[in-house]
Amino acid sequence: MGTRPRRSPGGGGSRTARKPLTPARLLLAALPWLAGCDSFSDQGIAARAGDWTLTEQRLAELLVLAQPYPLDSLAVDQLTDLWVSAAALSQRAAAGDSLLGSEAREESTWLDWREALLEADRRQRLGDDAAREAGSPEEVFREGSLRLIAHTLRRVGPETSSSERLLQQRTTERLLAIIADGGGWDQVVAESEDVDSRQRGGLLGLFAAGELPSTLDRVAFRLQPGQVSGVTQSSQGFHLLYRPRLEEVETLFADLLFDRMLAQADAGAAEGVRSARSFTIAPGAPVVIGRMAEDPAEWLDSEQVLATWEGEVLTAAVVARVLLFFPPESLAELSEVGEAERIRLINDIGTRQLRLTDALERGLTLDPVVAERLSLLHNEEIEYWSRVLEFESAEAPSRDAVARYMELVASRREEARSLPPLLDAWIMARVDTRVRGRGVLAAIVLARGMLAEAGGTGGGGSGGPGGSGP
Amino acid sequence: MTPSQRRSGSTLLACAILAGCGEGEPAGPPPSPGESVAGLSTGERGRFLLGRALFERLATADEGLGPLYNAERCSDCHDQPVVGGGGTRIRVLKATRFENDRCDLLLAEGGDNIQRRATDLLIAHGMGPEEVPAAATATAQVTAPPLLGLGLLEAVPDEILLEWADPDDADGDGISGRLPRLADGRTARFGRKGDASTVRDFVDTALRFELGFTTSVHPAEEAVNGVPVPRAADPMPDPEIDAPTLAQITDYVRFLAPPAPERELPAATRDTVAQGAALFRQIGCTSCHREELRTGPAGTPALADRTITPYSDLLLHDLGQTLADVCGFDASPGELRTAPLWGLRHRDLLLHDGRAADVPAAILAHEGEATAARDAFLALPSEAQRAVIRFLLSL
Repeated sequence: MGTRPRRSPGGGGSRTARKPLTPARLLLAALPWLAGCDSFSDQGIAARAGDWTLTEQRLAELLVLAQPYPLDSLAVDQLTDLWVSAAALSQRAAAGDSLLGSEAREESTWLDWREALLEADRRQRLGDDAAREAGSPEEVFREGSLRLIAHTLRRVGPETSSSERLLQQRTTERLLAIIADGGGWDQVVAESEDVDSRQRGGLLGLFAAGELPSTLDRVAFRLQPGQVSGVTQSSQGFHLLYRPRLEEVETLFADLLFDRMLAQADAGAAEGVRSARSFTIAPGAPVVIGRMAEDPAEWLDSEQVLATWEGEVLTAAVVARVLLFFPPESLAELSEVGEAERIRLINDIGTRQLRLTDALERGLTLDPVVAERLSLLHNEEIEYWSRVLEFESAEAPSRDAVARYMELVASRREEARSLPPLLDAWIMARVDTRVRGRGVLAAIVLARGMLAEAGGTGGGGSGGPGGSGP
Repeated sequence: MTPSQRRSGSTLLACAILAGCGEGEPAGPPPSPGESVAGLSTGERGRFLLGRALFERLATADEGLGPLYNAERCSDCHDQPVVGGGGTRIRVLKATRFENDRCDLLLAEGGDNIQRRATDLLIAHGMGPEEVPAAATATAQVTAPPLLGLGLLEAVPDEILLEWADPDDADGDGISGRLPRLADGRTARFGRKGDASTVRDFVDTALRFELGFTTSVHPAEEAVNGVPVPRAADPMPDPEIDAPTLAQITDYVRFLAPPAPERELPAATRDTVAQGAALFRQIGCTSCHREELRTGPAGTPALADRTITPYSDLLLHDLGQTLADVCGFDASPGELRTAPLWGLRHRDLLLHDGRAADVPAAILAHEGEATAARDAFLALPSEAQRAVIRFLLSL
C-alpha cells in the first residue's frame, strides 16, 4: 500500500520527470519501453489507483481535450496526479473511510492549525513590540516604502499560441479601458485568472521594494495610491497592478503591517532562541533535504533526525509534511540550491517546531473560532469532492464519475483543484497507487501525434459525405 | 470515455482474430453518449477532441463573442444528457412573417433568430439585445436539438431521402414528406425547419446566431434589428472564427456517435419494448419516423456504409395547426422536419419548443399528416399504449 512513487503539493508533482521534456529524454524513456522491459501488465498504462487504470491513450486524449495546455512532463504529471487523487479518494470514500472524521480533518488542516497556533504564540510573545514597531499605519502608507498591491492576471505560458497570447493581451487592454472609462477595480478583477487573489479583490499582499518579481516591482513602486498600471507582462502573463487608496484598505493595511512587524520581530529573535536552546543541525541534513525535495511523500514516516535542541528532535517526517505544501517549482529549486539555502530552511522549520513545542507545553490552544473555521473549510473541501466525484450515487465508487470530472477539468468547465496535500497523502496510504513515468511520457508522445495528425488536415475538416466537403 | 479505436494494422489483425469483425459495422459495445463514433483514425479522433474543447470553451467578447448572442459556449445549450446532446435550459426565440404562402425570415430586421443578449460594448453604444420585429406574424421558443449522430445523418445520400419524399402525396396515403431546398438549390436535412444542408452549415449557423461569431463562411457581422453594428462596438477583426477552427468544431459534431438504445433489459421489459416497437410500426408512425437509414460513401470511413436507426426520414411534414409557429426558408409554419427519435429517453422535454413534458403529450400534439397515426395510437388499449411509450423510452 501507499506505493505511489511521488507526489507534490498543489496537485503538482512528478515522479520521474521534473525537467523539460526533450527529444533525448523521450528517447531515453522510450528505449526500455521499446525493448520490452516493462511488465506486460503495465504496458499502455500511465497510472493506477487500486485496480483502476489511466491508460496512456486516455491520458493523451485528455491532453488533446485540454488544449491549449502545456505538453511538458511537469504539467502532464499534474493532470495525472489529479486523476490518481480523484480515483483513490473515490475508492476510499466508497470503502467507508470517514472523510469528515477527526483523523482526516487533522491531516487536511495540519498546516493551517500549526500556523494559527504559531501566530497566537507570536502575538503572545511579541505583540506589543510589533505594535510599537508598526507605529502609525497611516504614516507608513504615506511614506510608501511598504505597499499594498493588487493585480489582475491573464495567464500565458511557454506553450501558449501566439493568437492566444494576443487574445490575453487584448483582454488586459480591454480591462484597462474599463478603468479608463471610469469603471471600478472590482469590475476588472472579476476577470482575473489568478483565482486565489481574485477572491481577495486581487490583493497580492504588502511588499517592500524588491520583493515582487522585477518587472512587477518596478511598476508597483511607481504607482500612486488609487492608480492602476498599464499592461505589464511577466513570465506568468499580462497584469494590471493597482495600489489601493488608504481609505479603501485602512484596516487591512494596518493588519498586514502588524503581521509583517510581528514576523520581522520573530525572525529577529529566531537566531537567539536557536543559540540559547542549543539548536543543532544534524550532519548530512542538508543533503537529506535535497533528496526529500525530490519526493517529500516518501519521507512522511521517516524518523531520521535533521536537527536537535535540548532533548527534542526535528524529524524528516515533520519537514516532509511542510515540504508537501511547497509548489513544484519551489521543490525543484530546493533540490538544486546549495547547502546554505538548505540550512536556512532547516533553521526556519526547526525554529517553528521549537516554538510550537514550547507553546503546546505552555498550554496554548487554538482559538475555538479559528478551530471552527478550519473544520468548516475541511467540510467544504469534502463536500466539493463528494459533488464532483458523485460519492452519493448508487454506483459509487464510479470510474465514470472520475472520468467525467477529468473531462470537466480538461475542458475547463471545472477549475482544477487539488486535495490538501496531507489529506491526499492520507488517502494515498490507503490505496495502492502508481504513476508510471514512461506511461506519462508515452501519453505526451501520443497526444503530440494526435495533434499533429489532427492539424494536418484540420484546415479543411474531414469533409462531408463523399469526402467532397460542403 | 472509451479509448479511440485506431484502425492500425495490429488493431485490425486483433479484431479479425478475436472477434471476427465484419466489414462496415463497428464491433463491440456502442460508444457512450457524447463519445465519438468507433473507428476514427488518430487524426480524426484528435479533431474530435480539439473540436470538443472549442465546443466547451467559454467565449468572450475579446474573441468575437457577440455583439449579439444567446449563449457563451456551445455546451451552454447542448449539454443534455451530455455535452453534444440537446438542451431545454436555454430556448432560442425565433420570429418570422408568413404571408401569401411565402416565408419572410425578416432578414432586413435582423433575421429570424432574436438574440437576447448583447455585449457590454454594444450596450455602451446604445444598442441592446434584439426585439421581435413588428412585422413578425409568429414567434417560437425552440430548444437546442440533440447533435448526437448528425455526422451519420449527413452521410445518408440524398437519393434515399428523395425516394421516400412524396410532396404531392401521389400514393394517397395522406403523408407527403418533402426535402426542402436552400436558396442555392442544395437540399436541407438539418434544423427543425430544414434550413441547413450539412453539419458544417448547421455549426456555422449556430456560431453566427447563437454566439455571434463571424465565420470564414460568413465573415460579415449581423445587424441589430437591421441596424449595422458600429465598428467600435465589435473591434475584433472578421472572421472571428477561421476555417480551421470551424472545421474542428464541425468535425466534433460530425463524429459524435448516435445514441444507442437501452441495453441489457430484463426479459419482461424486453418483450414489452419489442411489442411496443411492433405496434409503433403497425399504427403507421414509421411512415415518417423511419427506423433504418443507410449511409453512403463518406470522407470519414467510420461514417460510411453504416445502417443506423434514427427513426426519422429527415423530411418535412405538415403537422397541423397545433405545432405551427414560425416558418423556414422552404417550410410553412406547420411543416417540421421529422424529429429523429434516437436518444428520446435522454430528453426531459419533447417537441421543437419543449412544450411536451412526456411522450403521450408529444403524440397528442401531432396533427396534419400525423393525424391518422396519432388516432391509431389513441385507439390502442392502454396496455398497448404503454408498450409503445416504453419502446420509445428505450431509444
